[in-house]
Amino acid sequence: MIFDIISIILCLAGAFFFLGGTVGLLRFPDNYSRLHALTKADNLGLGFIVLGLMFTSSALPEIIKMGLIWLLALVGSSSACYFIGHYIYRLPSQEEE
Amino acid sequence: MALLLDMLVAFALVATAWRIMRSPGHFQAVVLFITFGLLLSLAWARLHSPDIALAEAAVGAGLAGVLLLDTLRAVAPPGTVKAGAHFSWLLFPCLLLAGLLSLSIMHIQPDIHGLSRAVAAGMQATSLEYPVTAVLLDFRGYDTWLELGVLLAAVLGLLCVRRKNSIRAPLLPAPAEPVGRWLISILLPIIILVGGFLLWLGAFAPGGAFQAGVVWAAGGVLLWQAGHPSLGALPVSLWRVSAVLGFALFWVLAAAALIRNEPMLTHPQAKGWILAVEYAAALSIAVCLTSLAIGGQKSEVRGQGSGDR
Repeated sequence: MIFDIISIILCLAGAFFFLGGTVGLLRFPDNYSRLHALTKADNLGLGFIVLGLMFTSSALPEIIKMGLIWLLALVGSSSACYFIGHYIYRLPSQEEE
Repeated sequence: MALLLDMLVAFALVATAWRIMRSPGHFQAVVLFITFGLLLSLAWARLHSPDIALAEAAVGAGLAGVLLLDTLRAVAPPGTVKAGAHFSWLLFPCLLLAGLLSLSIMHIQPDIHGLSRAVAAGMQATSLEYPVTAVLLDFRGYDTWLELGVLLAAVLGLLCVRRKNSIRAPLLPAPAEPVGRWLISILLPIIILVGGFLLWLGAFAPGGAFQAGVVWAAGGVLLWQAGHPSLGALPVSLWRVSAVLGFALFWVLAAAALIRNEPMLTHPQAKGWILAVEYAAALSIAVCLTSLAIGGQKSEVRGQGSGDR
C-alpha cells in the first residue's frame, strides 16, 4: 500500500519532468538550450518513472533490469546530445530548425 | 484505461501518417517515419504480438531509418528544403479504401485462432518450443530462405551499382571520434550480448534470427559511424562467407532433402540442425544489413568526419 503511494508520486514526478522537457523543447529559443531541455529533463523524468516502477515490482531481476535500462538511456541520450551539438556547432552560422 | 491508451496510440499513428504526407521537407518526413515505426511497434505490443513489435522497432524504425537518412544525404545536398508534395487528391480514394476495409471487417468470421490451431497441432513434429520460430524456420522455412536470398541479392546489387568488387572496399573506417569510441566501448558488449540472448531465446520465447541479426547489424553500423578500425580489419573472405552462410545452409538443406527423395527443405528433426540454420541466418542477416547500411555511403562523406547526424 505504502509502496503503491510512493510509486504513484514518483511516476507523477517523472511525468512532470517529461512535461517540462517537452515545454522547453517547444519554447526555448535556440538549438543548444533545446538539447539541454530534452536530455536533462527527460533523463530525470525517466529516472523518476523507473524508480517508481521499481517500487511496484517484487522480483529483484526486474528491478535490476529497469535500473540498467535507465543507465543505458543515460548513455544513449548523453552521446546523442554530444553528436547533435557537435553537428550544430560545425554548421555555418545560419539559424536552422 | 487500456482502451484509452489504445485509442491514443491509434490516433497518434494516423496523425503521424498525416504529418508524414504533409511535412515540408524530406528530412522531417524521414524522422516522422521513424517515429511512426516506433508507434507501430507499440501498437503491435498492445496487440500481444511481441515478435512483430520487436521486428518493427528494429527493422522498420531503426535500420530502415538509418538507410533512409543515408539515402537522403546521398541524393539531396544538406540545407536544401524541397516543397513536400501535396496528396490532397488522394484523400477521397484513401477514405473509400478505409471504408471498404472497415466494411470487410464485419464479414470476417469471428475465428480469432486463425492458423494457430494448425501450428499447435504441428508443434510436436518439431523440436522447437516456440510456435513463431517453428513457423519461420521449420514449417515455412521456404519463406525465410527466400528472405535471406533477397537480402543477399540487395547486397550484390549494391556492389554492382557502386562498382565495387569487394564488400570491404566501402568498409574502410571513418575518422576517429572520441565520444563515439567511448559509446562503442559501452554499447558494443551489450549489443553482442542482447543479440545472442535474442537468438538463444528464439527457441522458446519471442526473439529469433531476424531480431538478433538486426541488433548485431546496429552494432556494425555503430562501429562504422564511430570510425572504429575493426570492421575494415576483417578479412574479405570472412566477410563474404558470413554474408552467404545463412542462404547457403538453407540451400544445402534443400538439396540434401531432394537427393534423399524427400520434399524440399525436409530436415532431420534434430534441434542442432535448426539451431545451426538459425544462427547462420542471424549472422548473414547482420552482415548483409551492415553492408547495406555502410556500402551506400558516398565516398567523400568519409573525409568530413563522422557524427554528422
